[in-house]
Amino acid sequence: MIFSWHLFSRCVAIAVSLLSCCIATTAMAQGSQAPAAAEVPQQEPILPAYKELDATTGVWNDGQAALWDLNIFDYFHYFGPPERAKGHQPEQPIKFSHITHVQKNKMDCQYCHWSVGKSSYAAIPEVETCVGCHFASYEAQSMAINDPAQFSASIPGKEPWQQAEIRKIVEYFHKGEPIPWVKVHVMPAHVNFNHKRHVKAGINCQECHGQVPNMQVVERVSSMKMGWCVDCHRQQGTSIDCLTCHK
Amino acid sequence: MSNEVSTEKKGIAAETHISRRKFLQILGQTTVVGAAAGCADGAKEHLIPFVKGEVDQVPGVAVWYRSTCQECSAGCGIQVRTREGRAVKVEGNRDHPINGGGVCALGQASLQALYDPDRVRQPLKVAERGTSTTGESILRHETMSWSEGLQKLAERLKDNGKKKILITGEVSGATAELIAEFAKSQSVEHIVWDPLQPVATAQASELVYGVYGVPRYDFGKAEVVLNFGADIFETYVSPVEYARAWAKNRKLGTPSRIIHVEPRLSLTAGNADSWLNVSPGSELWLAKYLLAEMVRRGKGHGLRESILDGIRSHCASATMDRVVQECGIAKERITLLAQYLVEAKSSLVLSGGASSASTESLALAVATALLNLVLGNVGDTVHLDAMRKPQSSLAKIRKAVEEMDAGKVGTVIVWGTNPAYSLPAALKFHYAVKKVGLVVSCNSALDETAALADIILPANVALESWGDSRPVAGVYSLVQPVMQPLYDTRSFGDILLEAMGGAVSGGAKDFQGYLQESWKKIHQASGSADSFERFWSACVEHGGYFPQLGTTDRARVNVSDSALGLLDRGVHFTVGKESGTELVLLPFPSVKSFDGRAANRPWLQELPDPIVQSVWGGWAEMHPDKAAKLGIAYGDVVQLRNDYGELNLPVYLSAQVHPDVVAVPMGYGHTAMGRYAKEAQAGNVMALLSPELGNSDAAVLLNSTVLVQRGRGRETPIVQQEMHDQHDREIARSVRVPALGAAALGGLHSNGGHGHGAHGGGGGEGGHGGHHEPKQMYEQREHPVYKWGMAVDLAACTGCSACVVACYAENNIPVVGVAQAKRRRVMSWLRIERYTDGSAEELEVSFLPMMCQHCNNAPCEPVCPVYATYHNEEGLNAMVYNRCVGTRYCLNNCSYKVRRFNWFEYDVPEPVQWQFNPDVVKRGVGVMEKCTFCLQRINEAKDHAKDEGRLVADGEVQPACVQSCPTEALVFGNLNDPHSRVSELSHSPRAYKVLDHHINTQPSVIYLERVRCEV
Repeated sequence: MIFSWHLFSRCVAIAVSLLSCCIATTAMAQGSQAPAAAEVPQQEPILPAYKELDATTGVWNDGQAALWDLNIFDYFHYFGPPERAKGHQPEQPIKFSHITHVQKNKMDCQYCHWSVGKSSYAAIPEVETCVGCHFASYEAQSMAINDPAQFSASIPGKEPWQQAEIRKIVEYFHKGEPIPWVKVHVMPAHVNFNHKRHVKAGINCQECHGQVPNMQVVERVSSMKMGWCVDCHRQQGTSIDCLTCHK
Repeated sequence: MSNEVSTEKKGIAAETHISRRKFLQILGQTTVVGAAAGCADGAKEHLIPFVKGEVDQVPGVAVWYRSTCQECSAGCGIQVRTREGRAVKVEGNRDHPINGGGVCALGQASLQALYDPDRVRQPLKVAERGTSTTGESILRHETMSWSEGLQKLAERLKDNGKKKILITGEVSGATAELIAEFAKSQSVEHIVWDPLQPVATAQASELVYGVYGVPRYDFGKAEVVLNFGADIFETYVSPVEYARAWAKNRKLGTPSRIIHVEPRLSLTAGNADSWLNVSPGSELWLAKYLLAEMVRRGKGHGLRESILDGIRSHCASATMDRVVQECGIAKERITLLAQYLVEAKSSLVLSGGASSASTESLALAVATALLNLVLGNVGDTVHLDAMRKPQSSLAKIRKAVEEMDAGKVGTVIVWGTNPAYSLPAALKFHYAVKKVGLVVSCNSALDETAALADIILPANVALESWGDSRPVAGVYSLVQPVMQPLYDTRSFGDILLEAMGGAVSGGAKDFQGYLQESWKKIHQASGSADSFERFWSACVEHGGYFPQLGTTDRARVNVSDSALGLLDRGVHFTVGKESGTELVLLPFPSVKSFDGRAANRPWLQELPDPIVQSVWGGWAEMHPDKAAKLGIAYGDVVQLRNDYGELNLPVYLSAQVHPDVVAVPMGYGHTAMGRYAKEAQAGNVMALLSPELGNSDAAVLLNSTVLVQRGRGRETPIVQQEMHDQHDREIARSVRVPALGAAALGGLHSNGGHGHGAHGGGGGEGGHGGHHEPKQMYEQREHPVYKWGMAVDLAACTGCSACVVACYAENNIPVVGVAQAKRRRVMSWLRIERYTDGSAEELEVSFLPMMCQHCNNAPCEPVCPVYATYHNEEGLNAMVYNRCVGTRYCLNNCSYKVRRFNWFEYDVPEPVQWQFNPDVVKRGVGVMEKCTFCLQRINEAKDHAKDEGRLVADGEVQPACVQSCPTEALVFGNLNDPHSRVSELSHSPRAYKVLDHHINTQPSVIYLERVRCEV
C-alpha cells in the first residue's frame, strides 16, 4: 500500500488538533477557566466573539481565523519545535551583547539592522559593519590573527572574553567568511511578514522582539504564532485577510 | 546576505511500500510523536550576512539586470530578476526593439540552463572510455585544472600540421569578432551549425534582391500573408517579434489574413486563417503557379521584361491541373488564393520551416522572393534594410566531417551547438570525430558532443557571461552577467583569449575588456556627446543601444539567371502510393523542443506541445486513415525504418496531418545531456535523415521516406488534452471578419460555427456572455478597493505557451516527471487548451489559456471543510496552503479543472533550489494549489503604492503570465476602476466568460473572442 510519512504525520497532527480543540471548547462552555500560562501577556480574550458563519461561502464572514489557528495551544501546551517556542535562546557563534551595544553605547537598532525600514527583511549587519568599529585597519587585523595576546593588550578595559569575541569577528572578516548567526525568530516558510510595513506603521521593535536592549543573549519573547499576530491586527484594525500574511 | 537558509527536507516522489501490519505497528508507536512531528521542521536555521555590503543589494529586495537572450539567434532583450545575488526569473525587456516585453518559453527556461543539475562544473578530461563486457559503453571523466586544460588546447593550436576546426552556433557582435580574430591568428576554420536557420531564404535574397540575408517583414502592413511552412510563431527567425506584429492589428479587428501552406497542422498553421494541407514537397508547384498567374494578371509591371519572361517560361509547367494533382488541394482554393494576392493592397509571401527544408529549399525560397518582387512587396512589407545574416552551413560542416573521417583534422573545438545530436546520423559525425587528435567541448552541458570530446572546458551560460548580440542593423543588444558563475566555468570569450595567449587587437586582457573595445566603435559611430563610460553604463542599464531604424531601403532587383533556372526543379517523393507502407518523414521543431538544444530543461519537457498536448517525449504523427490501412491503432508503437536507421515511437493519430506524411518532432531521444533529456525518450529523428545536401546551405530535413509498420509493444504519447471538441460548451469562441471585399471592421460578428444563442438565462446585447447578468440567489460580494481581474484576448493568443513556463518559474511549480505525468499529475497552474472545430477543409483551431478564474461564485469555496479556500475582498479566490488538509473536494468541484494536488513532495536536485522565488512558498505534500494571480506581485505593488500613499496604478501589477506574453494578449488590473485597461476590455463587444452562462460562476477572467478571417 501507498504510505507517506508526511501525510501520516500530518493526519495525526490534525487528529490531535481536532481532539484538543473539542476539549478546549467543552472546557470553555462549562465556564472553567483554563490555567493561565505566565508567558502569555494577553489572557483576554482567549476566543474573540466570532460572527456567524457565512452560509453562502462557508467562510467566517469577516475573514477571521478558524478555531484551531488561535493561540489556544500555547495556552495549554506548546507542541511545536523548540526553535519556534517562546523563550528560545540559542547560543550564538559570537557572544554579541545588545546590552553593551544598545544600552551602554546608545546605538540605534537601525544602525545595524539597516534594511528594516526598506525591506521585508531586517538585515543582519554585514561583517564589514562590525569591523567598521572593531578594527578596520589592516594592522589591527593582522595583529588579531598573528598575535592574539598583543591584540588583547591593545584593547584594554575589556573583559578577556570580550577581547576573545572581538578577535573572532576580525578573524571572520579576514577569512572573508560570514558569521553564521543562529536565527531566533524563525517563521514558517509560508509566512509573508514585512518588517517595512510594521516599522512605517510606527510599531516599535520592542513590541514584538521584547526589550532586546536588556538582553545579553537574544531571546524570543513572543510566541509569534498566528493568533498572536491576529490579535494585534484586530486591535489595530488592520487587515486580517489570510492573504495579507500567508504566501 | 541575510537570506534564510532553507532547511526543508528534500522529498522524493517515491512511494514507500509498506505492509499493513507494519503500518499499524508504526501507527501505534508514533501517535504521540506524530502530533509534534506534524508541525516540526527540526533543524536550526541560520542568518547568513554579507561579509561586505553591496550598494544595490538590500536583503529582500529584488535587483533586476538587463541582458539579451542567447537561446536562439533572434536576440530578444530580457531582464532578469535576482534576489540576494541569485537569478530567479527571466522576463522580457519592455524597451527592446525586437521583443518589446515578451519572451518565449525557451527564453523563460534559460534559467534552467543556469541551474542545470547536470552541468559540467569544472574542466574535465576523459579518464576511461570503452565498452564493458556486457556491451555497455563506459565513459568516465576526471577533473583537471583550467591551466592544464588551456595548456592542452594551446599546445594543440600551435601544431599546424593538421587542420583545426571551431564549430559554434550562430554568433554575432563581439563574440563573432573575437572568433574571427581567433580563426585568423590560429589558422582555425570557423563553421556555424544551427539546423533551424533559414539559410535558404537568405541565399534566395542574394539571388533575387542581390543582398544576402533574411529580410525584415512587416506583418502589420500586409493584408494577406501567404506562408509556405515558415513556423513564424514557433522557431522561425524571431517568433516573439513576429507574433507581436501579427497580434497588433488582429486585436484592433483589422487583421492580416494568413494563409499557411504545410502538410501538417503546426502551431503557426493553427493560427492561420486558412490552412492548405498540401502534399509534402509540393509547395514549389503552388508557388510557381501563383508566380505565373500574378504575371499573367499584370502584376510586376515595374520589372524588367526579361525577368517576367523568365518567370513565364520557367513556370509554364505549373498549370492548374498539375498543381491540383501535385498539391492535392481543391482548384477553388488555389483560384481564391490567387485572387486574394491580386486584390490585396499589400501582401507578403514567406517560406521556411521544416516542411520547406527539402533538398530544393532554395528553389522555393527563390519563388517566394520572386513572388514578393512581382507583387511589389519589396520595400513595402519586405524590407532589406535590417536583414539577418545566418551563417549556418550544412555543406561546410559536412565537408568538415569528411575531412575528420579522412584523418586530416587535428583539433575540433565545439561551443554552443551539438552536432553529434543535431546532424543527420548518417553523416557519421560520431565515427569521424574519433579520428581527430583533440576534441574540445566548451558546452556547459555534458551533451552528445561533449561525451565524444577528449577534454571539456565548460563555458559559462549566457546569464553568467558578458557578450552582445547584433541580430540586425540598428540593434546592439548587450549580454551581461546577472550573477557570479555557479561553478568553476569561464566565459567562452575568455577561453578563446587564453588559448590565443591574449594577442588580440585592442590588447584586452579579458572578454569583458574586449567587448568594451568593440563597443567603443559603436560609441564613435553613434556620435554621442557623452564619454564612453557614460555611454557604456547607459547601454548596460537599458540592455543595449538601439538607434532608430530608417526604412529607406529600395527594391534592389538583381535577379540572376541561376535563380530563374532553379524554378525548373521540383521535389518528387516517390512515396509508395501503391504499396502504401512508405511515407514521407517530416521532422519538425516546436516551441518546446526546438532542435533539442534545451532538452535538459524540465519546464520545457513538462510543457504540453500546443497542438498535440503531449509532454515528456516524442511521437509519430500519422493520419488515422493511413494508420488504419497499415493496421496501426492508437496505443501502438510504430516502427519507422529506412536505409539510415530505425526508430520506434508511440503513434499519435491526427486528421490534421497529410496522409502521405509521418511527422516526428525534433529534440527527443537524447543519449546524453542530463537526466531530464534522457528521461524524455522517444528517439532522435535525425537518425532517419539522409545525408544528402540540398541546393542551399540550409539543413535538409524533408528528404527521407520511411517504411512504417507496427512495432513491438504498446505505448501512448503522454497527452494532456486528448479532446479536440468543445461539445457545444462554447469555451473558446470566435468572431469572424468577413472575407476581403465584404464589409470591414464594423462587420465583426459572432461565430456561428458552433451554435450561438445558447447563452443561458439572461443574455445581454448580442448574446455575449460578458454582459450576461442573471438573477442572483445570494447577496453579491463587495470589493471596496480592488477587484482584481484579467482579460485574455484570444485574438492575440498564438498558443506559444510562454506564459505556462513563466508561471512555472514564478510560482515554484514542481516538475513531476514522466511517471507522474502519465497519471495526469502535471502541476501546471496555467494550461493552453486547444480545440479544433469545423471541417478538415476549413479547420478552426482555438487556443485558450486556462487558469484559476477567481470566480465570484466559486464552486470550490463552499466545499472546503477547513476554509482553506475562500473569496477575499479583493476578488481573489484565496488558497491558504497550510490550512489545507487535502480532501481534494475543491478540485472535484472546480468547473475549470485548474486546481492541482501535491501527491508527493517532488525531487529538487541541487542547485535547482536556488531558482525558487523566495516570495512564494514551496507547497508541501497533501496540499492543493492553484493560480493566485501572482499574489506576491500584487502584494509588492500594494506595498510600493502604500509607501507613496496612493492606490495601485493600472498596469503596475503584472502577473508572470501577463508579463511574458509576446502579444500582450493578457491584461491584468482592477475591475473596480472603470478606466483600467482590463475594465475597458471587459466591456468589449467580444468579451465573454467561460462557462458562466451555464453555471453562473462569475469568473474574474474575461476572455475576448478570437478574431477569425473568412478566406
